[in-house]
Amino acid sequence: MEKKLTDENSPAFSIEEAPKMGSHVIGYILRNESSAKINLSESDKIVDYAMFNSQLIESGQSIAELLKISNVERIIVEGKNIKTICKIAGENKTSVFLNKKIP
Amino acid sequence: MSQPYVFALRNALEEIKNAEPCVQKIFLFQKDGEVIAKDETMGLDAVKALTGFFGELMQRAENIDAIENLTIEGADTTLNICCIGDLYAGSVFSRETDERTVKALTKIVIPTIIKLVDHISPVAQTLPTHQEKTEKPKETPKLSKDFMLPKAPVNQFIVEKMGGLLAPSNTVRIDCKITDGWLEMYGDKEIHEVNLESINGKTTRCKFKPNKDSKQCNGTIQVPEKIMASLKIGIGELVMVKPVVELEA
Repeated sequence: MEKKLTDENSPAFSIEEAPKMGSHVIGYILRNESSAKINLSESDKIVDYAMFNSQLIESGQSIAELLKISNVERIIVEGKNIKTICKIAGENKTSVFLNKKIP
Repeated sequence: MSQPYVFALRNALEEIKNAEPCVQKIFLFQKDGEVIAKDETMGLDAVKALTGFFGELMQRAENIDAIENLTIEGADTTLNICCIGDLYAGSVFSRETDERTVKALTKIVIPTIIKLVDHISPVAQTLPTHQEKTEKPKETPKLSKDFMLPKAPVNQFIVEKMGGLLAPSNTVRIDCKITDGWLEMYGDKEIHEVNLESINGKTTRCKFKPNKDSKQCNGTIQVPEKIMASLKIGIGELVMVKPVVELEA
C-alpha cells in the first residue's frame, strides 16, 4: 500500500525532527509524484530550495542516463556552505539540506 | 586553451584510467560547458549534453550556493564531478571501489595534475614547435647604434649667477673640460642641451655653452636667474648636470 507524504501520515518521522536536532540542518524536502512537503529554517528561500531540488533530481537522472548509471540511489551536492543529500527510493525522493559550517 | 595544454591533460587522464581499472570514464570541462578532455569510451555529444544538464543545475543553485562537488550514486557505478579552479573534472567509478581510492583520485591526483599542467602550460606556449623551428629562420633583432651609446655622465656643479647684459636667459655655461669630455665620449653625436636637476628634485632642460676660462668656472656652473628661479636654487647650491644626446631619427 502506498503512503502519502502528509503531516498526519509521513513515512519519515525522524527527518521531521531533523531541523530541531541541530543548527547544521537547514531543512528537508519530501517528494513523490502526487505530493511534497517542505520544512526549511530559511523560510525566505523556500522557492529557491524547491526549484533547486527539483532541478537536482531532474539533472541527476538525465546525467545518469547519459552515463548509463542504472538505478540512481543518491545524489549529493556540495557547495561552499551547503551540502544537499538526495535519497531516491522509487518514486519517493528525500532531500536534506545541511549547513557545512556548523555554527 | 592551447593545444599542448589540452594534449597534456588528455594524456594524464588516460594514464589515470589505465592505472586504475576502477575508473570507467573520465572527462574534463570548463565552467562555460566547453569540453577540454574526455576518454575514448565517451562520445563528445554525450559529454556536451552532460555539461548542459550540469549548467542548468548550476544556474538553479546560484541563489543558494556555488556547486563544488556533485556525486550521483547508482546501483553499480558512481559519478563524481568536482570543481578545480575554472574546470570541472568528472569521473565514473565502480561502486566496489574503495572510498579512499576515489577520494585520492578526485580530490588529490586530478586537481594536482590540472594545477601542474596549468603551471607548465605558459612555458609550453612560449616554446616554438618543431615545425616553427624548421620553417622560420631565426631572426636577429636589429639594434640601433643608439642603444650602444655609453650612459650619459652626471656631473655635479656649484651654482654661480651668470652676469652680463647680453647673457641669454635659457643657456648655462659649463667648464669646457667637461663639455670636451662629452664630445670625446659621444663622437659625432650632437649635444646641444643639458638636463639640470637640483637637490630638491626640480629639473629643467636648457642650452649650454662651454666656458673656456677654466679658472673662472672650476667646478662651477653659471646659471641665469630665470633658470635658478625655475629650479628654486640659489648661488652656492649644488646642481646635477647631464648632457642630452641627440638620437638619430
